Amino acid sequence: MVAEKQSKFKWGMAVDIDACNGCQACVIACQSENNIPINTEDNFKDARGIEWIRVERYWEGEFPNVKAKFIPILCMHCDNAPCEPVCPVYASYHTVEGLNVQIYNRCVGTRYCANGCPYLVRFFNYWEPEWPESFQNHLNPDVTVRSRGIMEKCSMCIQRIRRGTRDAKKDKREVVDGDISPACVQACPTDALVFGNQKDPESRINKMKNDKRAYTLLDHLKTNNNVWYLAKVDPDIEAHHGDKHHGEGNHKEDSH
Amino acid sequence: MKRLLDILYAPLYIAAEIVEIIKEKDKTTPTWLKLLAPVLAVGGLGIFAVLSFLQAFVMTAWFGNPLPVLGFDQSPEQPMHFPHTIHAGVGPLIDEKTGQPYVSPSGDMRVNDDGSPMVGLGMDCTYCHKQVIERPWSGVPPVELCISCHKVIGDSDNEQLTYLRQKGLYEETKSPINWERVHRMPDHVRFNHAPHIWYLTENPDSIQNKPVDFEVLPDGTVNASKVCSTCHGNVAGMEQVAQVQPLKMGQCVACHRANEASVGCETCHH
Amino acid sequence: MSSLENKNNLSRRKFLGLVGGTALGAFIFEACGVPEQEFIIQAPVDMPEDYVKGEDDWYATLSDTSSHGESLIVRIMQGRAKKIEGNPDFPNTLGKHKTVTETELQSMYHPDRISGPLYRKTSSGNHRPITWKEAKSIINNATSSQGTKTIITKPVRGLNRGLIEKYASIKNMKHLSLASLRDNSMYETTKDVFGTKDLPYFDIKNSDLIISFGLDFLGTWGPVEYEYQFGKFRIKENRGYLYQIEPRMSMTAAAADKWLCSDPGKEGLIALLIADSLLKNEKIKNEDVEYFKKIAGIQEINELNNSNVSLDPKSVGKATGIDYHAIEKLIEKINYSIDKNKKIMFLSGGCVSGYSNSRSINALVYGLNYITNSVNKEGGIIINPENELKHILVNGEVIKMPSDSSWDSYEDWSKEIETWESGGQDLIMINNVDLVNEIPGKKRLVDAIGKAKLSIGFGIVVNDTLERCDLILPSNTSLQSWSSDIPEPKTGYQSYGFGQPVATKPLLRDGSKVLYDSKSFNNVLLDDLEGNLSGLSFMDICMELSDNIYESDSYKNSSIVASSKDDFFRGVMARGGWWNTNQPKVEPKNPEINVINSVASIKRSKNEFYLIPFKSHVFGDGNSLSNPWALGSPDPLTSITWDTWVEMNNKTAEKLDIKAGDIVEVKSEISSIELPVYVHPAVPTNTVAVPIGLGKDNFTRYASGRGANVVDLIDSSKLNENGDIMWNSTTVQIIKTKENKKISKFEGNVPAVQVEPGVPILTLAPGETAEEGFHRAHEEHLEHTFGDHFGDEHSNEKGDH
Repeated sequence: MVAEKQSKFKWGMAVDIDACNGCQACVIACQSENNIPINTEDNFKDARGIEWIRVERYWEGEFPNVKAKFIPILCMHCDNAPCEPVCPVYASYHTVEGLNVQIYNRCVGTRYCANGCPYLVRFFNYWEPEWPESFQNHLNPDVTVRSRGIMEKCSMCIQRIRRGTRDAKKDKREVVDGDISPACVQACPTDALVFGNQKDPESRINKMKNDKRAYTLLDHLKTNNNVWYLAKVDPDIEAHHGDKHHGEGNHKEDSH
Repeated sequence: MKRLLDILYAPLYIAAEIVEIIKEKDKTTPTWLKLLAPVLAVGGLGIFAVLSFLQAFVMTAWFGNPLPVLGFDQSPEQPMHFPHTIHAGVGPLIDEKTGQPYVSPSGDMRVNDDGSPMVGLGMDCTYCHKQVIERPWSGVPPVELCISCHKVIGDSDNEQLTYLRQKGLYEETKSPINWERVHRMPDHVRFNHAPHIWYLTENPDSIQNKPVDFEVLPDGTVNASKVCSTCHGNVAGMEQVAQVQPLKMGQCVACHRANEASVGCETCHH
Repeated sequence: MSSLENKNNLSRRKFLGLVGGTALGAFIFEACGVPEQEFIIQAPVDMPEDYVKGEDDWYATLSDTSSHGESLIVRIMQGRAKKIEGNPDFPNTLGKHKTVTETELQSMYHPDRISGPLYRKTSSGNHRPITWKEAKSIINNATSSQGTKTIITKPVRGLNRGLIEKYASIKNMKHLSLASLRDNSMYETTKDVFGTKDLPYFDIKNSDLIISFGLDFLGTWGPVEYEYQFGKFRIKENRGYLYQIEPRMSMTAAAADKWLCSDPGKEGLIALLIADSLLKNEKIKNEDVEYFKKIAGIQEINELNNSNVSLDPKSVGKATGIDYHAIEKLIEKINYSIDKNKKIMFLSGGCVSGYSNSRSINALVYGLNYITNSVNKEGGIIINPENELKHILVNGEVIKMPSDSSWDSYEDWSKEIETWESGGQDLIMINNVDLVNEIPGKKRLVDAIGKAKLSIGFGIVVNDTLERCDLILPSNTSLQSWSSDIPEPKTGYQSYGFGQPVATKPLLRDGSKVLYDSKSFNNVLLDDLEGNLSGLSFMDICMELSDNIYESDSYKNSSIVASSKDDFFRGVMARGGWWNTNQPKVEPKNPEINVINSVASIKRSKNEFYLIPFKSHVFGDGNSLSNPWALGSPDPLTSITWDTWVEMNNKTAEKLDIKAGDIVEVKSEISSIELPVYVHPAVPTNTVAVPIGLGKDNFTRYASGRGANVVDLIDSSKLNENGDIMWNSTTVQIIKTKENKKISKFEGNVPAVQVEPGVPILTLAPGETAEEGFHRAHEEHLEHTFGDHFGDEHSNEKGDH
């Protein structure tokens, strides 16, 4: 996507999996902030639950040496996003600030983008969202209520980003690291999620993405993600540091 | 809607059906039926053409200027009559178009007892719509604000004012006046008043439809009340508020381009 | 008195305006117009696309789902609450909130909230709507007459508790409190062990090694600040190491570096072994050892051992069901940390409080902190100072402010229920507690409540208990009422939390009708009082407290600097409370470690399983489950939503020929329930676990008739050292039924994003880079796929391909 003009922002997120305790606070915060429809029992049974950010849990090992590992997964806001070129109506849109957002009024519901997304973070509204009348009081007026037949996804709380940059502009100052935080980042009790501007050399996100533990998901697809993960640390694992074990592994592959 | 179309297109369906029948048992078909088929087909196509033309017309109107019949450019009747003319108008209340004093919806002329036009109070927009400078919405003032003045001023015979004074609508129903909304944004748009007002007050050149009392302050800025007319037109001259601009995306984008504001989709659509 | 009168003139509306108006420049709390009077704009769903973009005002108030006195900020637009976040300024939230806290928004706007007072004259009649005036006279008649009267609440603290106790003493009532699976034993024991009235504070962030016996401080117990501290504990330069020792994988065990799964009741042996090894460690200062021995009243550790297991890793491993290598490693780790002068902390509670020896084991584990000299040290257990104000005077009446929450053991409860059953009870007043589902023996309680002459229930939505009350009164949610609380635990210094009404009453869309005619519980109590307190609202009492703080010695160096009392009150409200970070350390007063039974024995026959009832992280104690957000959020470990389940180990399930989703009968000696099975590897093979919270017959359109209530299975006739029910000492049989059910869960909604097949999440050794980690993961994957060793056998096998 060709940027129309250079922006001084390029947003990104870093997730320190080592700090994540899988508490789901980000999930509810996101639902509350972004007017995500109530996920009913049947929605889950039909595998139609909508969670813009989800916490995946993996088991490793067997009892008693079993470990539960959590990883929060949200839209990676890829610079080279597979969902963008496939959309016939340009509803999957890349902003100059490096975000991948869905333009709901363009979307015609082809679902090509969801099929193209390797991270499965796009969700289709199979039903008209329904809230009892009194619950409509707590809906966030900053965010469109998506109707049936629309694809929806994480926008990194674009409404909060817009608010933050606007406030800075009004006060005639620069956006400071930490000024803006999407709902999930704000809610994360362990501060495992960090959001910031990659073009700000002092930002925490810049330090985290250059950390030696940093990696991006499905790197081999070369989607150039803007969400980095800082790997979990297990003090009980012994490091290999490319020792002979490593060589054997290669050998094994060669002989295959 | 679909049912309506089905009825309108019915001749075409029937014609097609007849053609089928003719094909199948050509010899036994009565002549009148053979003749009926082309008549129905031509008639049906005619209806189709008329409908298509109408649809095209509606679409053009939708993308261009809104049509009054579709609920746009209307000035809905309000639960309580509030003349912006008297409150916000400046000088004698004379309609520029007709050259005559304004007429309220009930037919009264805005004239004093001696026949001279009434003089507007020239109140700032922001006196009542306080929040507009800081907030996304302009905000309608609480009834208390109305009463704070109308306790002492205003026509003592006016039925609605008397009601307001005696009961205070808020006290009566425990809720504010249920005003009808006039300006509706098109679908899927998030709009915020405040940044527009910040910008326009500092860049008076971008203001359009300047009001009669437009004035640039010594520091090059203007009063916040002088920028509203860019989108809302001359509200001070409206007995009953109406939407005068189409407020369509083209207009937004043109203005954003002209003033080098952000034109990314995500600016308004999220 | 005159000052109070002045305050009464300040209406809540004006007040909120003022609070916002002063808006403390650097603060996020901004002024807004006057919410109650604003233009009605229809709710966005009705016309979603034309609603102008909104900006917000944030007000601080207290959370009501949290039992730790956490402060919130609520985003208010035009009188409506839109979003809940943790108060960034308050010491025990630091801008974060617990997962379920957000659902308070839905409690506020719940479609099934009680719309107005309901009353029935006879216990068999139907409820009919009455006015608040009539309701008040019914309450007044009942409370003013002589007789046996009880008032029941959740555990409360601070002014909230003071008011209830004041009310109870004036009206000659008894005050009882109840909370599901509450860890009373841990609260009580820490008081003894650390010789303090307040729960101590755990300095998790600065600790290097935490050994937690069952305390679920990352899950359902503890203020959200502990989770925040845990994040820092993990990502700091010298990454902390967390051991969790308990029979079920809780959220804390899942996040821990090492989970040691002990058989229920046997955890004490590990604590004893640790104590033994600590005493033998030469690096431990002699004075610390002597101090421990003195307060424990022992000479040898073995004196505390009531079992016949000798204290060496092998025997302890055998008795607890843990691989003894893991125990050796634990001891090694502790000794290594002591060698390197690292900070160690021992915590206990949660699961281990559910055995017969709850008090002993908590005392023993917390006592270990004395040996490692972790009390009142950075990275250890910090003793909280008592608040300076113990009571305030309101119009000459003393209102106490206890900083510890009230609790009543099941022993007290069972006596109370017997009184009810005997028919001698005149009045039961229940505030938002679902008695019949939280105490074992639902039928007995239903009958007992029915026998009382009058039962009054306050609540937000109707639940099984409220439905049985004669007078049902709608109460305000936390976003609508005044409250005052003291955080428990405090964060090492004095603090008070204040709650204020932040949102207007929900209106019908056209504004013509108030949807729920609710009142705040505290105000109803005050209305019912005569004499000096009559005519006051709880706001006046909160203001009085604020004035008292302003005049107290503690005000110096406090969090808010104000020029006058009113100014101070506004500041307190804007920041959600008041605290004084400048506090000297408090030494423990007369600490004691009373260990009677360090090891509990739970009898289990061969075909039986230990039953662990637990609070799921999202379901909590079940009181939030009226809200679809709570029900529809996946339980973190199982990803199950909208249902109750029984967790079973995969090997056990295989043996019993049970598949996920099969419905089994879980049968204890008392009763049995039917539940779908969820199979996962993190359950011990001899244990099954069931979450509490559901199984309610009447609890709004969302939760009614869902799941089953595991509390029914618990035997309430045997009590532990604290006089409480032994939650984790039940054994059950699992009987397979023919039925099967598709469980509603998030798992499987999306295919997993994995690093390598079989290596879902990249895990690094300390100091390793991500790239090296990928190489290792890749190798491990190959090993996993092609066998453990790349030996000759494999080459041969390959030849066969």
